[in-house]
Amino acid sequence: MPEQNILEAIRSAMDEEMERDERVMILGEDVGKKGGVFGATDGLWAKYGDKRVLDTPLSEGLIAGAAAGAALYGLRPIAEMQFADFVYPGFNQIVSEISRFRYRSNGTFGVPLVIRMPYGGGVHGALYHSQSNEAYFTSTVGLKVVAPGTPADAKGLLKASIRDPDPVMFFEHKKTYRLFKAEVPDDDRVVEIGKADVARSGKDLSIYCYGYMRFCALEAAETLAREDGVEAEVVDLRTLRPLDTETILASIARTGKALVVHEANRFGGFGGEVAAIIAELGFEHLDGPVTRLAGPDVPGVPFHHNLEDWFMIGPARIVEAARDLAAY
Amino acid sequence: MATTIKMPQLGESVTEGTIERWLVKEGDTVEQYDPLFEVVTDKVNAEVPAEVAGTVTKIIVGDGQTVKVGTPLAEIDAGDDAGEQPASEDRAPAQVPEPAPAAVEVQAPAQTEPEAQPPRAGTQPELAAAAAEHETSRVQAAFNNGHEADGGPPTDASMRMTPAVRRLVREHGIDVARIQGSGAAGRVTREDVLSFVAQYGASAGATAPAPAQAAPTPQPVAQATPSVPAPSAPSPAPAPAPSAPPQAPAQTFAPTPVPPPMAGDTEIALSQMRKGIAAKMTRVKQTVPHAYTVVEVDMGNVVRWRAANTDSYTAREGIGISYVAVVIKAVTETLRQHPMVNSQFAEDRVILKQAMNIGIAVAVDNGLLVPVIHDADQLSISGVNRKVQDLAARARTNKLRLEEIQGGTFTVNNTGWFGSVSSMPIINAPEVAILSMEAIVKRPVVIEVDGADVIAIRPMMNMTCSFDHRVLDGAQVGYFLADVRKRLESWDLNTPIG
Repeated sequence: MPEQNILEAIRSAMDEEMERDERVMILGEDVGKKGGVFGATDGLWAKYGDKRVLDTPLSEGLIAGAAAGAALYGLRPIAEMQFADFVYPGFNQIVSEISRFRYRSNGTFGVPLVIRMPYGGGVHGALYHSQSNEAYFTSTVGLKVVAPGTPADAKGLLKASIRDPDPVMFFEHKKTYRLFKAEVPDDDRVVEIGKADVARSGKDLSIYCYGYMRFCALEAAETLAREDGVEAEVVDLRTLRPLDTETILASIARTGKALVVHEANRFGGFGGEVAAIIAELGFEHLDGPVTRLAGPDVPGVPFHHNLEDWFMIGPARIVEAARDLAAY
Repeated sequence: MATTIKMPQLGESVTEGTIERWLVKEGDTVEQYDPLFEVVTDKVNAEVPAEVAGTVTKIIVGDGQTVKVGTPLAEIDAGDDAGEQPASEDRAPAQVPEPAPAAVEVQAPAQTEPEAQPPRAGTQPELAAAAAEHETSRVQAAFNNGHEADGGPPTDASMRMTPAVRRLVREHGIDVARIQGSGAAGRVTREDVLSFVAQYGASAGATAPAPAQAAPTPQPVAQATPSVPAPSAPSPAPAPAPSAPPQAPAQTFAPTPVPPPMAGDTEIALSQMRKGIAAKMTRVKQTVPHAYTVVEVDMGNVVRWRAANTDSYTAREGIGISYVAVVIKAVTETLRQHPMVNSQFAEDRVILKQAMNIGIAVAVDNGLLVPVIHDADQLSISGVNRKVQDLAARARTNKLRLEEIQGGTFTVNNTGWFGSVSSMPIINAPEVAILSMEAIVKRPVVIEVDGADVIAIRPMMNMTCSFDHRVLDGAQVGYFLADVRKRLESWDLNTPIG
């Protein structure tokens, strides 16, 4: 199997799906000739032409709306929001229309589209290029929300998302794009939506995470094992909705302690849902307070390096929180 | 202003009570301390008085119903305008339980904590201060402080059990007090329970070996590695038990199987009191390591003293002089020199009790009650004697008040009245010792008179002491008993009865 980084894995997923199914098309800002600001669609415009890879005006409302229309008319659009921070002009299309078509049409129409969005901070992107806004979408019924943390998952989940008969919000942490390489299947393998991955087994506590936090949690777990003798289990949720409750609970039954980690701010964040599920359904297994480690409740990721560091959740912060919980 | 009357907690570890009958009805006017209703618990039957004067506006729980402690039972409207009785509204009718009597009781306040939580003090947070971690610790600190400032019950982390620990303790039938906690502030962790089970077996929580059970050791091996949240699924044990058939998680307190009744047998349903006695005796005998000591006492002087005083005393008071009063007097005087014997065991520490509240065991119809003589050391012999008579009489007619069955620090048990010469009573935990005075029996004993051994006939009494061996050792109790004996044997014939 070839080694790829997450960006390359995403590109090959789109390439293979476009090759496989001519209904698959891409639209977004600078996705065509330029190949996307991060290069995710690099080469696809040349390969598939401007009918299948569309450069759009700077209008996210249009991108979301046109994608919805195309999907309803039988295409399989992949819409790219240049940054997750830019999605809001398209929010109405996504939340009021795309998410509800299946319900509204009594199951007759789905909107089989994918909206890819680079999210997250730690790249000196400041307020308009760093947001982790997944909670808006995880709290919207009718959307699937995916946030991979490895190249193989990015590829497999994107393929699954493109083939899914319903809308999928696909969150790509921009810091992970070129963070590391790993083996990626070069065949037609898909990763099922709705399945978490136990990335590391442990007996002392469970760290629930997704996206970039998987990388941080695994690094933290190694430190904890080396320095504290604490064996942390790392559960990469991968899909935020539908959520793999079974794997979440099986892990808490093994460890009794839960640390829920995300970069998005804490209040009303997705971690609250995970924590609530654990508290509600895993109550009798709890041997410590269900703990959240999340970005601070400030309006955005700051620009200044020191402040950005203060904002970001990384391995050291996870180690610290896990130590407290393990000692409880 | 309306006051809600709630089911009081009639004694430690009592969780529910049954309304025997209401003594008032809706619309009645009551004075403060007027009896409101009779309540039956597994420990005691009692009349509950009104906390405040007023009109009974509503009776929520009717006769014969059993409800949990703290359930609202009725409302009394004091009739005055708001604000006059600020403190009375939420006061529980029963007294606040004493500090940390045992592990089980301490859980309750811990569970109710969240209600008291004022999430935020309404400050406008600056951005930095609102950072998530600070937020949590600040709220938590405010929560903890607030709780202690309330004068709420102390929250001893070593007494708190997480859901996982509670479940394991229940599954394995373990007394959690026997496990040394390794968590923060001494909390018993899930790991602690699992390794305890692995080391000692599931039934190790009990002091007595469980007779009806096959060796439980193989069981914990399977239990120690729960992998899926399906507790009942039998996981394959790596070391199968050679003799025992596969069994459900080992249950320490599994009752002895009873064959079904046969023709002619009679079945008697357990009364609330019987159930209470059964539960408490089982718990105490299984969790407190009992040890026993017996001494013989020559009661000659006491007998003579009593004979000399009985007529005048009976003429004066209308009741006789009970040996129990004399022994209690000697016990309280001796306890002052042996404070460890007048203490309570609180798992991680021993509380030496300042008060000497002496419980006396009283047999009642189909049961037993232990009313308490509060501050017995401050009463004269006559005072103790009258208390004994009074409490025993009211115990038999169900007229004890709540406080009269609570707060004991040592118990005197008179088994002599039915002729016993040796008994081994169960300690009235969390007290650490109980003394049985056995029958006074005339016996030939060898005594020394002018350097020569002679056989004499003396009124002899055995005193048995059961004690909690976690707190007391044989020698300590031996000295204590020897001192009580000395006091009784050298009883001055001129001792004032008071």
